[in-house]
Amino acid sequence: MKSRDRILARLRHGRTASPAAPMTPPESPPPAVTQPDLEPMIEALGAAHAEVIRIEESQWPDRLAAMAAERSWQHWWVGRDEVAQTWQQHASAPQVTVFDDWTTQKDALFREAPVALSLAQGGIAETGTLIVESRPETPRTLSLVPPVHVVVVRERTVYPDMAKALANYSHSGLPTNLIFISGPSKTADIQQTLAYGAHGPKELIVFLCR
Amino acid sequence: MSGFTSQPDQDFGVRIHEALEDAELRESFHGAMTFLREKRRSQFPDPDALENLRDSGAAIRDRALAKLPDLLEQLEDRCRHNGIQVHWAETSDEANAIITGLIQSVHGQRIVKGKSMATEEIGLNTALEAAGFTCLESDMGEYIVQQAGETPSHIIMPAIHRNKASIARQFADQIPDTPYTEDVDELIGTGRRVLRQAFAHADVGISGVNFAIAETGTLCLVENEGNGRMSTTVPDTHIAVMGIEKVIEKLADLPDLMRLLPRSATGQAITTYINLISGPRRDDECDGPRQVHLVLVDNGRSRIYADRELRATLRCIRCGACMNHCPVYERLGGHAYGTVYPGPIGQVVMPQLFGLDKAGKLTQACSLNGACGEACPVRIPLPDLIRRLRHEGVTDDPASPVRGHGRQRQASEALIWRVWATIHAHPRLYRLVTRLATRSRRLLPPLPRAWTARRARLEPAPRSFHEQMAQRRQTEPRP
Ligand code: SF4
Repeated sequence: MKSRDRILARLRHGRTASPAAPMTPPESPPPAVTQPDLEPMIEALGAAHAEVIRIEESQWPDRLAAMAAERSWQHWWVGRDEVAQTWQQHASAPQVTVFDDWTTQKDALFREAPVALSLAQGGIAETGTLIVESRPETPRTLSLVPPVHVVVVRERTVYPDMAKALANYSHSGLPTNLIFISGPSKTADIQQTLAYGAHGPKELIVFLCR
Repeated sequence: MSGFTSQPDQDFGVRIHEALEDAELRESFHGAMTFLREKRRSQFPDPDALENLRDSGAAIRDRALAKLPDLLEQLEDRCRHNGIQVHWAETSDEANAIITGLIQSVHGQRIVKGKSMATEEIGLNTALEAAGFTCLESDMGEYIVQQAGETPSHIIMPAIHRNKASIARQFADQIPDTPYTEDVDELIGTGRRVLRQAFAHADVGISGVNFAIAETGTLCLVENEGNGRMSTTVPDTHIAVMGIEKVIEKLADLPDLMRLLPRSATGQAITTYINLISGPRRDDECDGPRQVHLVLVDNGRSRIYADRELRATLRCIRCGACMNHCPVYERLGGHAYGTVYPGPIGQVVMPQLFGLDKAGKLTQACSLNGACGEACPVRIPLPDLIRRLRHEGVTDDPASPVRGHGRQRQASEALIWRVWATIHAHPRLYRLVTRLATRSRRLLPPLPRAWTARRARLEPAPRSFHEQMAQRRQTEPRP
């Protein structure tokens, strides 16, 4: 406890010995957006190299089945959320691994999980962002380890901006891990050349559902 | 020459010359800086909105600093409540000892690290090596730099001094079964392959923190690659390391800072990932670390805090915009400074951390053009602080708050300024001296070679300004 107390004492002493007048925040805060406009969200996600499909909620499984056939996605990793259940029951009978045991499944997740499917708890229109919470039914690594991540997000859960999204959590409390995802993983660390799939997914496919 | 030193002043001149003569290096930095400046500019099309946002960013950070001791206590309390264990370190050594102890206590073997300037600052990798651990850097740029035995040359883009050909050669030489290729996608693919192996088997993950939110006990990490998420999610133990100044008051403070940080740093509207950690894995959750530790590092910050003006140093959100806009940094590159933080913010932080006797010369590598101060998203008056530190370097005031103050003072220089001040304070004397100087201009002693080596010799005009004006008034009647 000694270092802690010494650090705090030094800070308190410094503050009293050399007080500063507080800075005044700007008078006109940036205008708040009220109605989420989905166009910027689609545009921003697209610019960040994600693929966005706007669709009726009942339609995404058929559409995904068609995409899966086209791109030969055969093996799916899912959690235990609603979209996982819907997908498991789909007529195309996809091969699905339910990921719910870290100790026994971790190695396989890293070695052989090609595509993950999950539900995002919300979105942010302004920046083209998906809001993903760690939950018992949604492992954190599902949105991180497989090279392709397919996300279902509902239009009515989209906030206009980050301030609105976070205000919600100020009331309800934060999950242990809250992740804002705005595109596939990327890097420009080699000669400022953009490359996707640095450590996380190389592809991000978003079903934006009405 | 690319190592950090605790005596940046030593051989600073030598490093400057080496950097200026390295054409490849200058080209790398010129290209990268131009690119980053353009990208930032394109993100702020409306100058009024930018200024407004900077006001807000500065006010948020200023408010956090005004409440710093209270917020740190609140943060500690909320973190504990969330299950995050909090540790305090006064010095680098203490921080390294805490981290080493934590690794030993969980019998850690394989350690991965996400990008973090705080751990560079405390020299964690070296300390861990001394304790028998190796810690793998997992940010692509940091990985490249670590593998080459170098140090980062920019706080956001660590391998900015390297071109792809040299990275291609390095990978082919050092990573088994890797053919030479300059294809960037393939190079990144190679890094991904190697580092995935490391993530899958790591038992300890170390990371930095961009902001810690006192209200909720939350650690916020911002990144594009996902290595930060890997390091904080996959290993059983996560150790986060942060300077005590990085705390903010409320969750509601985050959005404006998030509008500023990625735009100022890399010219992106937002980063790919914003990772908010408010605790270890809960019993009903499938994955995530079982232990989360937060190490709060002072390392001289509470001393910086004690001076009202220098306190602004602590507003920094480590975006790198000041170095991207600095004409000196662009020409020298990051390594010439010899410090963890290079460029304008480094010139302000390092002399305060190490002392003006060891790093005071850094403040001279500045033309006071002001570009850094105009770029800073939280309005740190960097040029004023650089000037202030120059003053503290030569002051003879024993009450100066900065370590190593007065150690750059030279008797001859002090005398010259004293004479200069006297002349300028007495009009008659001033006229007499300028008269003498103009009349004997050809007889004046030559200027030191340090001045004339790259500049023309200066010579007073034949007549002083006063005399010229007086003459003009006589010959040109007033309109
Ligand atoms: S001093 Fe300002 S511009 Fe420089 S890194 Fe810090 S926040 Fe960014």
